[in-house]
Amino acid sequence: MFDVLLTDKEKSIRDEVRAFVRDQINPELLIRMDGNEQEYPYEFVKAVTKANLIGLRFPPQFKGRGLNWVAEMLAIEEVGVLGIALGCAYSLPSIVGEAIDKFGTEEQKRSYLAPTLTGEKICAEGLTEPRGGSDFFGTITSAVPEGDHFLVNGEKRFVAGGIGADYFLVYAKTNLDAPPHKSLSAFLIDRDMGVEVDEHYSLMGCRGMGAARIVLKDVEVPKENLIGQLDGATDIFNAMMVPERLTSAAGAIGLGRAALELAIRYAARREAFGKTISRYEGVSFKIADCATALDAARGLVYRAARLADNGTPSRKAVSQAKLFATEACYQTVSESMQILGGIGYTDVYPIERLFRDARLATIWTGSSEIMRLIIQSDLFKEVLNEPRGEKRDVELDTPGAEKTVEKVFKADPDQYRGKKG
Amino acid sequence: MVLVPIDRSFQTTWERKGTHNGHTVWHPKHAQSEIHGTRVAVDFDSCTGCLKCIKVCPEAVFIEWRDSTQSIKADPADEDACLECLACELVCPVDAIYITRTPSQSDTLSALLE
Repeated sequence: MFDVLLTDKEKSIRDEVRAFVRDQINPELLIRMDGNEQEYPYEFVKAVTKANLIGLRFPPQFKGRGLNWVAEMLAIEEVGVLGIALGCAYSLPSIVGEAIDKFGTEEQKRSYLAPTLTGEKICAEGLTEPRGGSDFFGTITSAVPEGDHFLVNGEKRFVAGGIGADYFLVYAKTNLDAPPHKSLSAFLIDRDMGVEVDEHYSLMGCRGMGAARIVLKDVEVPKENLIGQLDGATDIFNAMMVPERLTSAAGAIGLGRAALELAIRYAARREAFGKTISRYEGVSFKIADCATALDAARGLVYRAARLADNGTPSRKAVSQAKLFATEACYQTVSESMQILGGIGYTDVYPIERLFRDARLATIWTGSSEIMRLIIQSDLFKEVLNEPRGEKRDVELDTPGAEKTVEKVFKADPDQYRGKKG
Repeated sequence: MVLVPIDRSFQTTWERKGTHNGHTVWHPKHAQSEIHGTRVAVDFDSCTGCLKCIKVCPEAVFIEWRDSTQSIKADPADEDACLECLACELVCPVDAIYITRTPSQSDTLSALLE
């Protein structure tokens, strides 16, 4: 992110994470994960929690660092250069932790949040179901109260950490009669309560994160593991989507940056027709466009993070950041591969791995299409609810402005069916 | 024998004729045929008893059942357990299964954008 906008404290945490990423992560880990030789990056979780670099926003009493959203975004951009899987491992405590920190009881914070930030417990979240992911409020996993527990039944698909996690944040339907936004509740469910893995997915990228389909069959979840209010998961979901999407955005910037820096170094030494390819505009303009897109993405992430720091998180700003940053990431990695040519398509350079990772960024945590759906919906509300008269009425700045009859949009449909006129 | 896909409008065009294994049995008004189940509906005239649905169902909704002619059928004995994953619809080679989708998509989209 841009140094000019950052405080010294923010720059300092960025540098601390940058040094950790440089020195503490063995390339062998990335290679084993991508080679499907490792189910879950336990050693990464151990190292990053030992360095007290995870869940930076959370209060020190629960083992966080009490930093702000901007600081966390800076950290995630740095982790993003390791690829999307470790970016995910790094982000999950921020996402699940948001629900526990904001809506959980003191006991839940002690029993789940703190051990997650010290690496004693690994968390995951279950949102997507076999019937779909984007349609969150169509969740049909059910939780029925029975005595001192809820009986939970259902399945969650594409759970990162489905293999590896000790507990899951799971949304389930608790009210069959209420409208969708008042029908879901959130639960903390330990693997040991009876969560089974039915499918360990073989993925194009994002390998080594234990992506699985989990099955909950008559799982007895103690009532004290309900997070927040019964039927009150909408607020939790909306709160979680801030870190869910912002971490996706910031991680993607790091991933794109890694690919672009590889391409810049390559273009500066690879020669063709008597000069380095960086001297050809076909190459250098790609680099200019990608760098501009990544910086624009940083701007959007920074704005959304600052809004959250000010206590006024904006769903539209978060969605714009996620949409633009992940699309910019994919464009950047793709163009970087183009600059490397044939060698970029091999495992001599890690761009092919980053490319496979980047493809996921525009799909998960709310696809680009869902981001556009939210952005336009909020924008229509924003503009159409704006009091008229505060801004210049530019509709009048034209000679034909008074031709009001030309501004009538409605016509009797029968006119076009040959019945009239 | 011609196998026709299950009539997806059975809930409005067929009649309830009784129950079996805890689910409703439906008959068409002017023909000989039988659908078992409501949320998870199986047209017993079309069902060939291949039981692929039993194999893919994650929730054991179906059980193997023999009718009066000893033909094997997939009976939706526990339709309340259906997760609407639609795997059974997908694998049924004769389109004999129809799952009623809930809840309404427009409701949940409004909730998402609220």
